[in-house]
Amino acid sequence: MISSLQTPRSLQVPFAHVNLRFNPFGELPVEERQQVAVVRMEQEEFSGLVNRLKRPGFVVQFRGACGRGKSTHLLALRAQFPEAPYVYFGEGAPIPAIPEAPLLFLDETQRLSPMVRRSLFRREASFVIGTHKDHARELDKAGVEYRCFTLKGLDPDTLARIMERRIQWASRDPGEPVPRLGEAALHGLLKRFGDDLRGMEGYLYDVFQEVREVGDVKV
Amino acid sequence: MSKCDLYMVFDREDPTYQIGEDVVGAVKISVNKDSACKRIFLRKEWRTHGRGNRDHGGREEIDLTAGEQVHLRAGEEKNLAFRFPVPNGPVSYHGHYLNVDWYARVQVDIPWAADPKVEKEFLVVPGPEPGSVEQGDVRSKGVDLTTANLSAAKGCFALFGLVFVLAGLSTMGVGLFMIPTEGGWVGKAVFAGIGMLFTLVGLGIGWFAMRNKLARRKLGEVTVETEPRDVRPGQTLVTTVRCAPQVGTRLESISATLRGNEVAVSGSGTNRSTHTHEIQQDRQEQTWPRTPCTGQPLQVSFSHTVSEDAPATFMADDNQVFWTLVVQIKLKGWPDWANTFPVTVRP
Repeated sequence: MISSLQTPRSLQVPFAHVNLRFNPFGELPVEERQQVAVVRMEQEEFSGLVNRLKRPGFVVQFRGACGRGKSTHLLALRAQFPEAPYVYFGEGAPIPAIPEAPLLFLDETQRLSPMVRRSLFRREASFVIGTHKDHARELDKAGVEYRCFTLKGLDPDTLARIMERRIQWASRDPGEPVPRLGEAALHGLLKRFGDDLRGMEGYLYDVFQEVREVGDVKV
Repeated sequence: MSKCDLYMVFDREDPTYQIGEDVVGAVKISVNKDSACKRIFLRKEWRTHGRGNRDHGGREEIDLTAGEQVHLRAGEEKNLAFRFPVPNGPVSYHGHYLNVDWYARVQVDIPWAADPKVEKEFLVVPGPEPGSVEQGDVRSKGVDLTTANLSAAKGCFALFGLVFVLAGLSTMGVGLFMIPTEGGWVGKAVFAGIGMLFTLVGLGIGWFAMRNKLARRKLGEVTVETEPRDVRPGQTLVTTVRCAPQVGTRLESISATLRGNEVAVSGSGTNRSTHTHEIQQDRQEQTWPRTPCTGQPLQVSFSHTVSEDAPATFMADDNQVFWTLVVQIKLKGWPDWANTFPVTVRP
């Protein structure tokens, strides 16, 4: 069986026919993910967090299941502090050295032992953490000021903003139209995937591979 | 407003260049604000995009201002021409999970300010004289599939299997003979069950590792030759399998399968996922009548034609196009012989 591939003779600049540079739902490098991140909070609240994180003794916790946007929120805040270290704790992997810094971004902190977390939160620093488990009690005990955000549920407006940002980021000529996900498509996605954004991205990648014209995309 | 606006053009509407040609173009800079710039340079590199994490390579910079500082004056328009040889691979590729593209980016290096820049893709296709095109990191990463490495891996598997079997038998022994019956049968049963599981897993691993060795007892030394060594799209790969089965060996079939796959890895840690897309699969098989072998040496050939639009082998950290040939000899009532050989498809 031979799949449909382009021969060198018919090779064209990718996705140019739909005014895109690449498939909007492909994997993006961290720097670009920071750029496209849609934060599910008011701008005022976001600015407040950014200001407070400039001083030590403050923790922002993003909690949620896989694919709900914890890392996206971490990266969105990190875009404001590009110098701050970002540490990801992989499952079963040795715990990497956690650098000394006034602000740290730590992803998957549920994989740290409570003892390690306790000593971390006592540091003269601020933290933005992504976790599956709530560390509120540990933060209370450590006596630090904190804000907890639970990423659960997704409304059609937020989903529309997330999808539009991804598609616009991949656009070739920002002034020209691009494929779009209409209301019916967004409701279809929510019905099928709930708030699992990663699941949606995987599905939409395949859909966009087949998109042949600008306009509403059927999902 | 940016300090300047950049507009890039190539010397042709369809920016497709053959290896051996030169990429020619120009960049127009319209200055909006007075500014001193350290240099204006062009950076070319290939990048992957698609389902996998992005890989990149072949990065080179060309200084368009000959290392001199340039003062940009508001209202001024500058035209800078560029020319560089088409990179010697990888060739541009647009598949399902993987795309490889070349980019030319012109950047104005302004101190203490965001650098204005413009980037455009250009397409690299093989030239009329096929030479040794560099398809990513084929040389260093391609060795993972060599027969030598597979044999080494199987040696490790055999050792691994043995460790599992010994651990399993020890656990079973502890359960059956060392746990007193007065303590109840539950403890004995748990130990014996875990031991049995380990033993079975170990035997399975050992079976995989020793399968070819056992098959060779019936088949003698099996040799597989492919011609040509590297194939190009549209070419035919001829595979010759030779062996010398013992008298009475019952051969069922010999098959050779040519497979091309795109493999893209996304995420990291526990979020790491591997996405595989089949490009081509061509299985050929020769079956035998039920009569046992007479002890004569055996030679079988297969011809696989690589499709005209087949992508070339490409290797990067998280994105690959790889081709393999799987040869399998099935024996009745005896373990099969099977091996996987790498095939390099050149652009």
